[in-house]
Amino acid sequence: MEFWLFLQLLINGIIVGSLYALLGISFTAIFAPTKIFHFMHASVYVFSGYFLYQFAMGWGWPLPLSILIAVLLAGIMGVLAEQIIYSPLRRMGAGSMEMLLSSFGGYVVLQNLILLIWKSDPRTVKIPEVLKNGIPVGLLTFTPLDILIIITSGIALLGVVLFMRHTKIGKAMRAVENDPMGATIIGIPTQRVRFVSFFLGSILVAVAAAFIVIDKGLEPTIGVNAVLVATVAMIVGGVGSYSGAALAGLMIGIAENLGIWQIPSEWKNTITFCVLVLFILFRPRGFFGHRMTRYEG
Amino acid sequence: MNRDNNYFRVEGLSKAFGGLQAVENATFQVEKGKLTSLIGPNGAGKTTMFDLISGFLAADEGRILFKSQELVQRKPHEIVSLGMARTFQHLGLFNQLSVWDNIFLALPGKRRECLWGVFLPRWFLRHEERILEERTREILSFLGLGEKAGERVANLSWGDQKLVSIGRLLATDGEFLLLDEPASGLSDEQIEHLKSLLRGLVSKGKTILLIDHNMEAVMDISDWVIVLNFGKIIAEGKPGEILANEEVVRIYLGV
Amino acid sequence: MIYLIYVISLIAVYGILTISLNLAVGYTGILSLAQAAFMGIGAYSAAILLTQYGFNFFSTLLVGMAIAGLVSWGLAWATLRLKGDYYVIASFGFQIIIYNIFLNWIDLTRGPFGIRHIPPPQAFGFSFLGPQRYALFTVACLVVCLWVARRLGESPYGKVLRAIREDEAAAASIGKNVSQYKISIFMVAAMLASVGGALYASLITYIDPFTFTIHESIFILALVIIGGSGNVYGSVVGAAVLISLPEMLRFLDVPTTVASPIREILYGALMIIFLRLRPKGLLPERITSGVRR
Repeated sequence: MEFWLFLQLLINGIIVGSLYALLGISFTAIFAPTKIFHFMHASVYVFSGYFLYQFAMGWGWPLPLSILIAVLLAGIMGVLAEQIIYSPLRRMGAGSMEMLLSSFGGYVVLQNLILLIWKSDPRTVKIPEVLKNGIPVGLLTFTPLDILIIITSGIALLGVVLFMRHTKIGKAMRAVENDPMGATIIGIPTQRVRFVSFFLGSILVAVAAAFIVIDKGLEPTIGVNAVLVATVAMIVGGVGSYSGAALAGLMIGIAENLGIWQIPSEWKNTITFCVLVLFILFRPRGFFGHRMTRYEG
Repeated sequence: MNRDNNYFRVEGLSKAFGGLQAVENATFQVEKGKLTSLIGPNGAGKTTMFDLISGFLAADEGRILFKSQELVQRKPHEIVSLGMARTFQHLGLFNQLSVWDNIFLALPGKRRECLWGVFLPRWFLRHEERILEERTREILSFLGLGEKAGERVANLSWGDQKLVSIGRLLATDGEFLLLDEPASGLSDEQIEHLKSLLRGLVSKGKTILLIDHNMEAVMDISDWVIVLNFGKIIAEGKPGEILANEEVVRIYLGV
Repeated sequence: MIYLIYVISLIAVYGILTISLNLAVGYTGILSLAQAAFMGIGAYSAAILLTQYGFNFFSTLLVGMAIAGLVSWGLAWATLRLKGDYYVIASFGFQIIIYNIFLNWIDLTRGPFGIRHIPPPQAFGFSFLGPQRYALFTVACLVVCLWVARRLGESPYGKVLRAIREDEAAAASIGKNVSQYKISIFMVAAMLASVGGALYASLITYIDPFTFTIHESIFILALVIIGGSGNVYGSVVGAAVLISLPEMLRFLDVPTTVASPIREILYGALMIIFLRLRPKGLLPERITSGVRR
C-alpha cells in the first residue's frame, strides 16, 4: 500500500513539477538576458487564463483556437510591458529598484482590471471529458491531460535549449546574459533580444497557465504564487540555466507532493519558500549558476 | 630600498571570474612611506587587485599582509579600521549630500554615529563634534574647497569631485592610501596640482599605492613601479628601470 | 462625521506604516516586500494578547515590537548582505511564509476566521473607546512617529544611511559597517510597522490573515513612492490622499466591488506615473547639509 501511495504522490509531483518547470523556464527567459525582475509576469499569467476562459467559455470558440490566441496575446502583453513600462525607465537611466516598483504598479493595475471585468469568482474551463478520464495502471491513476502536461513541458524545455544553442537570436540572448556591455559593443541588437526574451517568456507562461486553468480552475489570485514558484525554480536551478530551472521546478513539485505525506497540505507553500530562503542564504547561485560576488561593479 | 619589509605584502594572490583569470599568482611588496604605482594595459587586473586588497573581492588563493595582519577574509570596513583607505575610479561620492557631509562622514571614531546617537541630546558629545568639525574645515581648506562646502556633490565639476574624493580619503586618516585612477579626466594644470598633493602626503609619512594610465605623471612621482599584464606581474622597479624595460615598452606600444 | 474621524484614524495608522517603510526604502535604499508581515505581527500580537490574555495595550505594543524586532533581525542578518534583487526576493518569500503562518496556525491565530472584538487601548484607567478618542490617540502616535523619523533622518546615523543608499561600496570604503546599519534600520522599520499593525487591529476591531498579504506590502510601497521617498511628511500626505479616495468614492454610492479595484488601479497607475515623471514623489527629500563654519 505504502509503496503505491508513494509512487502516486511521486507521479503527481512530476506532473505538477512539469508545470513548475515551465514556469521556471519562462521566467528565466526574461530575467537572464534582461536582469529585470518582471513581477508583471504574474499578470500575464493570470490574463492568459482569463483570455482562455473568455474565448472558450464566454464566446464559445473551439478550445485549441482559444489556447492559441490566448498564448499569442500573452506574448504581446509581455512585449508591451517591456515597451511601456521598462524601456522608458531604462532610457531614463533608472535602476533596478524603479523597474521593480513599476512592475508592482503594473501588476496591481492589471490585477484589478481583472477584478473589474471578471469579478473574483473562480472560473473553470471545460474540456473534453476523455482527457480527464483516469487511466489506471496498477494502483496508480493518471489522466491523458497529465501526460500531455509532461510531454508539453519536455518539448518546451527541449525547444528552448535548442533555440538558445542554435539560432542566431538565441545565441545573442546568451551573449547579452553573460556580458551585457560587451554584447552591445560587438553590435548585438539588444532591443530585439529584449523583444524576443519577453515574447518567449510570456508565451511559455501562458501555456503553463492554460494547463493549470484546465486542470485546476481559475481565480484572480493565482498569479503571485506562479511568480513565486517561477522565481524559486529559477534561483534554485541557477540563474541563467534553463535545464536547472526545469530540474528545480520538477524537484519543487515532487517535494510539495511527497511533503504532504508528512506535513499538512496547507503548509506546502511554506515549504517551497523556506527552500527558497535557504538557497538564497547558502547557495545563491543555485545548482548550475555562477558564483556571485558581493559588491559588483 | 629595503625589499624585505613587513609593512605590506601580497603573496601568491589569485582571482578568477568564471573562466577568466583576472589576477594570477601575484607577489609584491609596498614599502612604507613611499609612493608605489601599479600600471598595465586595460584589463590587466589592476582594479581587481585593488578590490582584492581593500576587501571588496575575496581572493581564490594567496595572502595579503598589512602590518602583519592577514587581510584576505576581512570585510572592507575592518580593513579601513586597520589604516588602509581607497578611492574608486567612478569616485563613488554621495551625490545627494554636500561636500561637507561627504568629508565629515569619513572621519573615524564618531561615537554619535550609531542608532542610539539619534536620541542623544545635541549638547552631549558636543566636544567631540567640535573637534571633528575643525578637522573637516582643515581638510576643506587644504584642498581649496572651503567655499563649496555646502554644495551638493552632484553639482560640482569633475575636477572638484576628484578633490572631494581625496578629501574623503584624507578624512579617514588612513596611513596606507590606495588611489584608483586619480588623474583621469583632469586637465594638465589639475594633474600638476595632484602630483604635488600626492608627494606632499608622502612627505608627511603616508604610504601610497596608485593605479593610473597617465605614464608621465606616474613616472614623475613614483618611488617604485609595478607592471601588470593579463593578471601577472611582469616587472617592477624604479621608474627609470621600468621605462628602459623592453617588454614593458612592447606591451604598451602593442608591438 | 464619525466616519470622517474614522478615516482620520486610518490615515494616521497608514501614515505610520508608510513612514516605517520609508525609513528602509527611502532613507537607506532597502527595498522590502515584507512590511505587511511585520504589520501583521503587531496586529496579531495585539489582537491575541488583548482578547485572550487581557494584556494592557502598551504591553502588547512592546511584545509586538519585540517579536518584530527579533524576526526582522533574523531576516536582515541572513539576507541583507546579498545583492539588491536577491534581498527583495528573500523578503518576498518571507512575506509569504509569515502570511501562511497567520493563515494556517489556527490554534494561535484562528486562521481564516480571524479575531474579533479587539478592544481599544486603555491607559491609567482612561479608555480610548470611541472614535474621537481613538483618533486622538492614533494621531498622537503618528506625531511621535514623525518626530522619531525626523530625528533619525537628520542625525549622523541618518547621514550614513543616505550614504549607504547612494553607494554601499563607498560607504564601506570609509569604514562604515554597512551590514550593521542596514540591519539596525530594518529592525526599526519592522518594529514601527508592528506598532502600526497594533493600532490597526484596535481601530478595525477585527483582523484576519487576508489583510496582511503581499498586496498590502505593495500598497504601502506605493504610498512611500507617491508620497515621496525619503520624506516622511510626504508619507503622511501620500497616505492621506490614497486612503481618503476610496472612502470618497463610497460617499458617492459607488459599490465596494467597484470602488476597491478602482482605488487599486489608481495607486498602481500613480506609482508607475510617479516613477516615470516625478520620481521624487509628492514631497521631495530634503537633506540638510551639516556645514558649520
